[in-house]
Amino acid sequence: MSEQNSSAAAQDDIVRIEHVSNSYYENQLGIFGKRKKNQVLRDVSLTIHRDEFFGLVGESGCGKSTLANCILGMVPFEGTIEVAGMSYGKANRKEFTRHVQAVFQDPLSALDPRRRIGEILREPLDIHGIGTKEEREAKVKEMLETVGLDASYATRFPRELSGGQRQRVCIGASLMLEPELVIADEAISALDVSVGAQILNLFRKIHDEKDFAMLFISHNLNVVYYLCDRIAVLYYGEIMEQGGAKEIYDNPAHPYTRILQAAIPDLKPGKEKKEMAFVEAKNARPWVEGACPFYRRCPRALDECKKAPPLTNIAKEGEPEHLVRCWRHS
Amino acid sequence: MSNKPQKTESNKGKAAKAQASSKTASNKGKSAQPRLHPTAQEPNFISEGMQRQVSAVSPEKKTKKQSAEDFREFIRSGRLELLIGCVLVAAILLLSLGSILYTPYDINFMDITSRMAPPSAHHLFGTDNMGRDIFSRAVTGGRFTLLVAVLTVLSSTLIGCVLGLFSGYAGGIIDEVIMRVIDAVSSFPGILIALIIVTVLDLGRFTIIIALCIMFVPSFTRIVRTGTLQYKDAVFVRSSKVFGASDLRLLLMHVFPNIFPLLLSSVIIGLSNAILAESGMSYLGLGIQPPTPSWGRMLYEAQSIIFKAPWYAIAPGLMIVFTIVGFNCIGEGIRKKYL
Repeated sequence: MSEQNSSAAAQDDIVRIEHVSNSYYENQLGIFGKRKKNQVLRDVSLTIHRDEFFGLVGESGCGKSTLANCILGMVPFEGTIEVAGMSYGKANRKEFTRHVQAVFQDPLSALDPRRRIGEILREPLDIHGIGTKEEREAKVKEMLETVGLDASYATRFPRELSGGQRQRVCIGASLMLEPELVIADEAISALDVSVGAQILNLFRKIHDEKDFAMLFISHNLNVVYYLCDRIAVLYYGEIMEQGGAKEIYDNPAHPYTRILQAAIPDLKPGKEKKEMAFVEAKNARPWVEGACPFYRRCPRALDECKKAPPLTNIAKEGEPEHLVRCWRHS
Repeated sequence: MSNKPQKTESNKGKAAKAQASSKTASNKGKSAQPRLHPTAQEPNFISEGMQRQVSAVSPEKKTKKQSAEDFREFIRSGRLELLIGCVLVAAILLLSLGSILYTPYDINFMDITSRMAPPSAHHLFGTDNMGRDIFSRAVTGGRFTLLVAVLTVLSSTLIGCVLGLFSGYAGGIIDEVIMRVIDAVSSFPGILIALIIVTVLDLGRFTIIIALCIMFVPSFTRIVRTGTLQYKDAVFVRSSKVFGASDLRLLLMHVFPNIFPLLLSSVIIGLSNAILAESGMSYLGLGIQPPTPSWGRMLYEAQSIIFKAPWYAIAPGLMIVFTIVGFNCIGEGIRKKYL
């Protein structure tokens, strides 16, 4: 009933993240050190549509993986996250996992060293009790072929495979339950460039055959631009800019996105771009409570930036939304 | 199997290098690099050339070195220990189990005419002060001692696994409570616990198992808990959590199989400790009660006639030594092989 009551917009969204914050306590060294509260995510809201590749970019430590873990229900958070109209709870973990699956960064540690590839791929089906034994075996074979391996790999151990093959197995395992959302947390960062490119193409190929949305997390704007339909740029636990991939890549509005974009090596000769860069760490502005998170390192900061800027839509009438959190655009 | 030819090649390379150490000096830069895979042959053309030369000059020398290297590898891999351990334990087991079917004499048959007879063709290990055949009693005693040891280790492993997995996985206050109780138990002297239990409970000859079990549970719990802590946050455990696996499934299908090799070697070594502990308890008169023989009991009885019939102490003593050495070798072999 509740699903019928939800609005039509929610039907198109596979994930709704609303005002999600997350923080953890860090024990400082020393017996009398106070416990320090570290805020990781600050009021993040975003939606991912069905059958869409959504990219999340940001530097390390900005909260990308924490957001993924929040969606998977691995870490506690404040706010609401709904996947296919469901929020995670301990009681409905099994049901919940049919909708969300994940591919992790390091494929070797993501595979149980004592189990064969076939067993690993079959495990989701075993857990959820899908199909008979023969059907499961057939599905495993089918999946191995989908991810570009062949049925003979089913009897091998993870250590006998190369990094790229292992990641293919991880992707296969995550797709076994035919989830509506796959979270790829830095899925190609541990692989070398050519293998990473193969995995990217594999994602595209599988996406042509199957319907699923993906939250693709990366620190590499280039990769995200290649793969994704929409991009959000995260800095210090806040969304700085969000919009269509092409729009963000070609016309970055936020200074931070522009720095990220300028950091992509450009091999065209003779083209000297005037690049933006961070304010150097030694010259960083002093921290002001409640300022824009990028205020300290922003090359184009104004006095207004000491107040937190709102997320505003700068897209022209009739164009898809393009949100920017910067005083220069509001 | 597949790396065998590689190994021999590297051995050849090493042999050649030893011969031509002066010539390989020019390749020092290359060989000084950190070698991640010591078995992989270095692309070293000088040593390859020398290798041909060496093999042409002295083929026996090379094979000698090679076999010495093979032997060292055999010892290093722990297979030698495993072999020795298996032979010893198998012999003891065979004797002990064989005693169910056949012993030269009845264990309680007293031959008054030949009391304290020295080892002879009639009585392999001699007779005791009541004229009973020591060999028959030693092998039968082995059966009871081993039974007590195996039951003790099995049950304490089971309890230790459940407690360790639970406490390691749950963490927090549950972990604290379980581990403090374990600490309390292990801080009691084992003999004291055994004394209390043997006097309070009266379950016949198997009271000793309960007493030993309480002594052994703490160490197994700690081992399993440490392993659980190591693996519970592993990415593959997290990833099967994402598949929707229940906590029980995570523990039994992913965490436990990965700590099993570690556990196995401590279980085997635990067996030898249990034999020692049982012998100790029986020696004090707390373990298996007469007239049932056990190794510790026999040592206790031998004590009073040690100068008149030293062979009475030697038979069970040797049995204990062989069993302990055997089990320890197996445990060590497994540890070397898998960890």
